[in-house]
Amino acid sequence: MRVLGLESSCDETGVAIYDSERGLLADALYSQITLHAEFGGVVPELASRDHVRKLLPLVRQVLDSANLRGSDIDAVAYTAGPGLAGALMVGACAGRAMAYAWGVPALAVHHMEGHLLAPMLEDTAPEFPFIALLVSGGHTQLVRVDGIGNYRLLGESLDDAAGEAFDKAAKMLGLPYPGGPQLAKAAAQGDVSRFTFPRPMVNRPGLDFSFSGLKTYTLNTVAECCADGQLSDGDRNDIAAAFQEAVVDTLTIKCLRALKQEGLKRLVIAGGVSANTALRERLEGRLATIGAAVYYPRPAYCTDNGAMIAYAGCCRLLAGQSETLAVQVKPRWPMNELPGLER
Amino acid sequence: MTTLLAIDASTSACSVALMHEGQVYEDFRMLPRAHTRFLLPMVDEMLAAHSLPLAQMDALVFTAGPGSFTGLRVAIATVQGLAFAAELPVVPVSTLAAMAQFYAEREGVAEGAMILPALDARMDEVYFGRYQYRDGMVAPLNADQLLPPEQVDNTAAGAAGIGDGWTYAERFGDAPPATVDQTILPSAAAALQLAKPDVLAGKVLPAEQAQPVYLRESVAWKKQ
Repeated sequence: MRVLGLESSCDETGVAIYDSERGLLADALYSQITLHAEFGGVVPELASRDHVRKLLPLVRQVLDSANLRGSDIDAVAYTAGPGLAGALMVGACAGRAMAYAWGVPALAVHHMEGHLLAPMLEDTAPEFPFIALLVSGGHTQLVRVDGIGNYRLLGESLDDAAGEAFDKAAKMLGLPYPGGPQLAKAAAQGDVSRFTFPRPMVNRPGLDFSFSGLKTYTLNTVAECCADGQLSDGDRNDIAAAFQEAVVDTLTIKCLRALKQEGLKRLVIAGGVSANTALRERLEGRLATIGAAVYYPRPAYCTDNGAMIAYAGCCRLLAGQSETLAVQVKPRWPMNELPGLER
Repeated sequence: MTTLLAIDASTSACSVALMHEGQVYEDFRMLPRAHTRFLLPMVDEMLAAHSLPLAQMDALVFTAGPGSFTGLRVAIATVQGLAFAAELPVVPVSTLAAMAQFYAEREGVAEGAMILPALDARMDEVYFGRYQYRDGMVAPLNADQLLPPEQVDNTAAGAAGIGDGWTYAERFGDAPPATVDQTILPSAAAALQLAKPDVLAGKVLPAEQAQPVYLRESVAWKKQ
């Protein structure tokens, strides 16, 4: 079965074709980062405008590069949520209409299920059950995964997502948009021992997160360093290092706690922040000490992409699921509302 | 014989129309904030009712704007998907022109009549057009505009003002005409009539070029 996957939930237009027998056949991505950079964040209306310009050219591109025609596509999967309503509508309406015109099924895919299953596109894919840490600009969640569609939310951020905290802290440090990766770069140059940031909520039981306090702490530390003039590069790097250390440490503590609580030895990390090298190294090191393994997608599939949507759609297609002609996007969509797969 | 399918979702109304064997059929509904759920089922019902496959269309017609940004994109993303997959060309029609054409046909206006469609553009502005009826079709006298009400030039003898933009009439440059109907909305059937000559003349576009005409450009989002 060959599935065309469309992703348009935020600021990247992603299109890919996944074949249930041969794996990924083609993959294309257009990132709107430069479009939103001057605003310091994603502007929903501009994101929607760009998706409607870029989507079809990318579809044509992946069909061409896979040497396929429309009639070779067996189903169309599109992200139906969560995400920006207007942005989701572009991919959902176009995707559903394409499937209708080709006379094939359509699948409405949950964006976070796409992220969660992205490691399945790699050669060393994890087996069920596992714990998934979903960390992006929009989400920080710990989920127990017993199978596709069989999810139990163990904990989540009560305020900012980890990626959002990265971006906001980066802005305070005067780093260019998008701040997360820039902050990680600065942190690599910094002295991690100069400042000690709090580890929010690690002393409380449970698996929830809170990152908004770290922003305030960052703001205060920046103000202290600026008291005698401008923020020096050294100050900036040291604050970035302390901030990243606090986030990585907090995420690691909660991941270990989740594995222990559920008695599991496999952890999947996915979402934009899962590309963070410090987080990957820390998790690999700490999980090795308890005989557990960490799985993650290649960096290109940590961030938003069409491949994960095509893959998740293919799993649901093979389980016999499909969408009606009534297109519905769900800007908010709890993952535990997803139907499980009969196996 | 020209066979065309048209879609409009540029306001709180939603319509799908079919032109086939010289007849025009339309499904027109008020669907505020519900276009995504009904548009494709309406297309399917229309085609099924006339036992026509999508591939038999000569082109797909859509209202390109101005109008609700989200509504325009719902219709246009749908048209893109349909046209791309069925390998059909597309034809854009001005939303304001579709309103004027609908009004002209419904009222049977006289040759040369002036019709001034206006839509509320929010942010204290209106989308405004000046159209004239000749040989069964409305034609623009100048390009559709986005204007503050005070800059609207509504001087035209014997004109009819149509659309919800006329709620701002008392701020327009001139006194409103005798005839104002604020309830007029764009219609897919009217868009079909306007698109037909383009289709016959081969003035069609590939699916990728089905794009909205917002009139309000992105500069409006800077530094808000």
